[in-house]
Amino acid sequence: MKIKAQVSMVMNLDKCIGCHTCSITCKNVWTNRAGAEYMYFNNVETKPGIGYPKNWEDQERWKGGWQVEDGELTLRSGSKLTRMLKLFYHPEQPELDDYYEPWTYDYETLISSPRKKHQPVARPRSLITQQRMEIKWGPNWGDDLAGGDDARADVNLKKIGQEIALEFSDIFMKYLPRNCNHCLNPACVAACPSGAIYKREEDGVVLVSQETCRGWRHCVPACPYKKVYYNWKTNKAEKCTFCYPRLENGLPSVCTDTCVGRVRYMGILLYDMDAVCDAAKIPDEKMIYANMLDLVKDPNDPAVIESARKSGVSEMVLKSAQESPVYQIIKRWKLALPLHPEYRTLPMVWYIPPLSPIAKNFEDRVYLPKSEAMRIPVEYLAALFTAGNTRIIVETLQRLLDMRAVMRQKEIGETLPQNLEFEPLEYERMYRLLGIAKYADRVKLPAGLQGKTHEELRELQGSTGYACPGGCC
Amino acid sequence: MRSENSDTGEEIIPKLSILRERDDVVELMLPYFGNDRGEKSMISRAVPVKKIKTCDGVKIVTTVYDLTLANYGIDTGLGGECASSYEDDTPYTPRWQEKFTGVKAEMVIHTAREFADNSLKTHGRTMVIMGGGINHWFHADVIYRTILNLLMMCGCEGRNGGSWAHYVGQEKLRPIEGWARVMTGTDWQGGAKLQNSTSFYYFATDQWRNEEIDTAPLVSPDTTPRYRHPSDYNIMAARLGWLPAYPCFNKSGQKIFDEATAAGFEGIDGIRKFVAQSLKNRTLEFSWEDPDAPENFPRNLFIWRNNLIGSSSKGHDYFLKYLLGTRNSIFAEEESVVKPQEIKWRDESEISGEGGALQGKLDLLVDLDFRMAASALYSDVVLPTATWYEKDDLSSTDMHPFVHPFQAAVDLIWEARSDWDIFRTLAKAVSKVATEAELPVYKDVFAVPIQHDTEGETAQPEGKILDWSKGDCEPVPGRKTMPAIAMIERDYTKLYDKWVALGPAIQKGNGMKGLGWASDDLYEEIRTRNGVVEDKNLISYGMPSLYTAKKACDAVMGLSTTTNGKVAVRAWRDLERKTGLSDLTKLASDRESERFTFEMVAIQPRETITSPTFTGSNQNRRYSPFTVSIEQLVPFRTVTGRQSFYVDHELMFEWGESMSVYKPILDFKPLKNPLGQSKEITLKFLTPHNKWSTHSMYFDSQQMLTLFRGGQTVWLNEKDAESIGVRDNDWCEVYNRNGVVISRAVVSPRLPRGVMFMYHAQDRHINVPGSKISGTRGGTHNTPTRIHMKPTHMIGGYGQLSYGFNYYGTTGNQRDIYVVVRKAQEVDWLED
Repeated sequence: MKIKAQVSMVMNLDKCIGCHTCSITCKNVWTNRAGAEYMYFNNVETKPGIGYPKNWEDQERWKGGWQVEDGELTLRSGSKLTRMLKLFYHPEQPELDDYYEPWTYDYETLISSPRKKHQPVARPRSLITQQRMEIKWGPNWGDDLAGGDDARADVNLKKIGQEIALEFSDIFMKYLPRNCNHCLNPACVAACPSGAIYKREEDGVVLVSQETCRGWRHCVPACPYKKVYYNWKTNKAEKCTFCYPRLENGLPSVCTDTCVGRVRYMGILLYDMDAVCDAAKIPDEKMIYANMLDLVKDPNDPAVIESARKSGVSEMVLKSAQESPVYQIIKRWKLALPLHPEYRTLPMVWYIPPLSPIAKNFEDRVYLPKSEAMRIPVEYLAALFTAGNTRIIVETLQRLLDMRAVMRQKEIGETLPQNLEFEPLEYERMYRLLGIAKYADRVKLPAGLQGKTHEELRELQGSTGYACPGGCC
Repeated sequence: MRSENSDTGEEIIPKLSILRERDDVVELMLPYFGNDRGEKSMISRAVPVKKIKTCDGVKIVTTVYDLTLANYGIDTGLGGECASSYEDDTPYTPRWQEKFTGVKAEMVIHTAREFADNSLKTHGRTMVIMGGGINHWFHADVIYRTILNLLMMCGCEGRNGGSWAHYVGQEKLRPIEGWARVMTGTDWQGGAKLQNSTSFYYFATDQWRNEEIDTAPLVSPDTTPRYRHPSDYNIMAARLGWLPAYPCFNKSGQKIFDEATAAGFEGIDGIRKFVAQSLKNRTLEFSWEDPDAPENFPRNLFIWRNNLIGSSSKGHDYFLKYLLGTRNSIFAEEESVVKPQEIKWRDESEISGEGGALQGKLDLLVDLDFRMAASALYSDVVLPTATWYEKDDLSSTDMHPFVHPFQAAVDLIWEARSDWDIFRTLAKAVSKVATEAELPVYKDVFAVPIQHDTEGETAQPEGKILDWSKGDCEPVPGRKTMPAIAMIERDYTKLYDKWVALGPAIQKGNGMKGLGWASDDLYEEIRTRNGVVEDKNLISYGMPSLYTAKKACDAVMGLSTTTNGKVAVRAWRDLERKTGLSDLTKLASDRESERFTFEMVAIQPRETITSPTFTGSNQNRRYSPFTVSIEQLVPFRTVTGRQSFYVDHELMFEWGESMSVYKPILDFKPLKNPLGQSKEITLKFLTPHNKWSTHSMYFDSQQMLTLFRGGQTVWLNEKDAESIGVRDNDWCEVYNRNGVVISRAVVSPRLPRGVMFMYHAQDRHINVPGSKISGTRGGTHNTPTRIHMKPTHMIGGYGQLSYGFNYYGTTGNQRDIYVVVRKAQEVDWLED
């Protein structure tokens, strides 16, 4: 056992209203630079939908993530040799049109228009070519099920044989906010020929060294979530940093901080590094989630604490791990699930699957229907979060329903549901964290760059950052 | 509101129903609107009655409860037409509603049971959250009443966690008493002309000339409407003092004053007499009786803090055509189906010449904005103003009882100034010009409608309409049979002097909602806090300064119940006096010593103090409407002092709406003669709020437009789209008699068939090409819409049906609209 610390995030999808505030604040902070216009380190997708970049989940097309060959993990994007052969032509490399061509408008027309027969108008212009352009795709083209056929092209629908569905009468939809998963077994790190991408020792944040990156772009296809981007001006890879300069000050990422729905939780998980590889390569992909839960260790277990200390986890981080809201949600209550565990990267951003809109049928003459009777098909959620294991989805949703039933009982004295998994008090705790938790309860992060002396910190100050074309910053 | 005999103290147990004690059963004929178009009928219901001897002979009476049951067709064992089960297809059963709503009867029953059962178990903690959308249907009032009935019947009103959560707009402006005085200049003198804007724009933009409504098919089957054209009702409303109608008359206030003086009428009473007499003998007319006469045009318009032209203008192209006299896409041959009786009709030839309405009624359009959106594009003058992050201001909203600050986080750029500073600069300029021009003091005579929360609520008792112009009664101004007539002096040379100070009228007291209290000490406190006007040349020398926005905010909060505990306690005390209830001051006495200041709310938004200006208490609890009435027995502000299932106004009877009834949406043809030529489909046109730009603000930002499709979009169902050969992201032309939109199509299964969404506030200055149909640039989301005015929204002088600024009047309903949609054949960017 070798215990390491990982900053982790949970998103409660029941509370996501699809406002995209996370995307905008992230963009304002990180990607409003030349060469990065098309990037959204964080984006929000309407599901069903093909997302951004187009159909990123279709690994038959993109060959992202890991596979198990002869009992060993290999990158789907190929061996080192085949990847080198693809240096100059890489069919799995997404192109600008797979993301979208960023644009602006001729706003000046509105200010300085001469007297005209018709009202002046600002027309779009490409931010890449500076030419007039027709807008044919964008980073959120399928918002709220816009473009029905695009929604139907969602590979998760195909997996469950429902690609034809989506009639108005039985329609469903939900939002999926996405940033880098800061995986325990990151494919991008493994794919980088220059060793420029690394997983930070102290908190597991995955970063691209802007000094070391040589722009080989192997990371882009390797990441099954398509969350590493190529800056076409600086010729370097860029990705979500989990806002590490904020993390180092005990603050959550900007997307978490500004979330209107208070969807996001951040905190420390302690995990067993020695078991990562085995967890990822279990043949049955439906078992990966269970393995991931096993990797996450009890921060109050003396053996875990001892091992953590041995591998350099600081006392502050340990204390944070013990107070971690994400540990409660992920491990203690088993309410949050990894996105596409079958990619075998062991993602560390977890999702509480949504209950609402709640009922599918009016025949369910109860306030809280059974989880199988939800409007969003359980199979669909399973395709997203459990590699198709519907049992886990049903159990997870049932815990959320039980929490509601317990709280309702407390208010109006209805009978408690049979076969509760936890004591009623535990559901109250659940309610407090999911329903009414304040900022400080949703975010528990240690401040300070752990394990560094003041001297070292001073040296680090201002030593890194994104390059700008022309070297302006 | 206590159920007791106020003389003896004896308990009264009111009968809900007289079913058991009935003397007789009578057949009641109720209006029914659920048949196919145009086919109205009455439905027969059996109602239990008591016979009561009165001095006018024997009268039959029944309870509102019994009437309500009869209205809904509930079988009370009396026979007649009623439903024997939910499965009957008789009016108001779950099965019956299915054919109108498409919602399965089983779903309705299920939801209703849960609603009622939950209310029972939680003592009324079932909530309906109602958005603004309902307000935008022609029959908004009936829909509201239907939902309120549901809540009242389940005992949900005035319950925390239950009740009616009203998600609409600005009406809970919390520090209202101070704001109202500063906003209207009534800290100096009365005389603000406050207008319900729907009616104003309906007349100013000549939508009445293009009216598609004939009231005859809409009123109760057993009634002939008093007017066929909705505008006539609004003229009546102006005449009877129900609604404001500015500019008031076809003569200026000064001219009326001069004429009165010349005719020997002296003083305010004389003026009143003169105006009433002149109106009666038609030597004076309301301006709206002839909206296309140049002397009745509105001439100057300031747009401030909204995008009137590009966003809010329901009937956008009518604004362009009549207010601005510019290029528009209205189909010219469309005119009213019926001609108004109370309005002078001027033929097109008469209004198209120089200075005519078709040249644009406005002389000057000024826009305060920080964006070059449509309002700015169409303005004569654009005054660059501050964004939210460049100025100091207050914000308070409906749903939570807090006062928030806006604070300047960054400096203003270029020539921009805050709204406050712009208006102060303008005031100074006007004073300067007025002084130079030696403008004499202007004696303004004008009309003021009968106000909510005044004795005027009893001006026209029993809901009877007595129209003095028809000889039903005499015109008596002032809370009687017509609007009040006021006279004030306006000295434009002193505009600036007054603008920069809190006026002395505050010392005489303040009030709101029919309550009053002393405020001389508050005035002194504001003087100390704000400092004074130091310029000896100003008439406001030595008065509390309002020079900066912050000082104005501090004055507003010092004068308001919700932000000054002392004022709240005084207001509660006055309510105690008025109601005879004791112990109401306890709702605010724990916070009597609190007085909000701008600095305080800048440190942290503050929760407001419980005030009788609002209907709920937030004393150690969350605010919820009506809790004060339910718990403290403060009467509701209605005719009965209680919540009403039944409204007995004559106009309500005329429209068949004394009780909540089903009324279908208006379904006028989009155009008399659809263009044909290519594949077309007719769809219902809705303009709900866009999730990112509720009314206007973000539409033109590059980042926000990138988050969807880069410009205007219309949403439609995939099968509807397929039927006209439209694919996702194709250009579509959307038109009806009101104008033409050209927009990208969003094809989605999320919409039911037969409906089109064009999200609200999609302005026309970004990525909008020209339309072949109109030959000009495509319109906004409000191009296909127009204002429909419903006469029942105009009633005044009768309890809750009385005018209050920003609370009551015709709703700007624009939802009952159909459009024709087709694929755009060609896209021309009209760069010329």
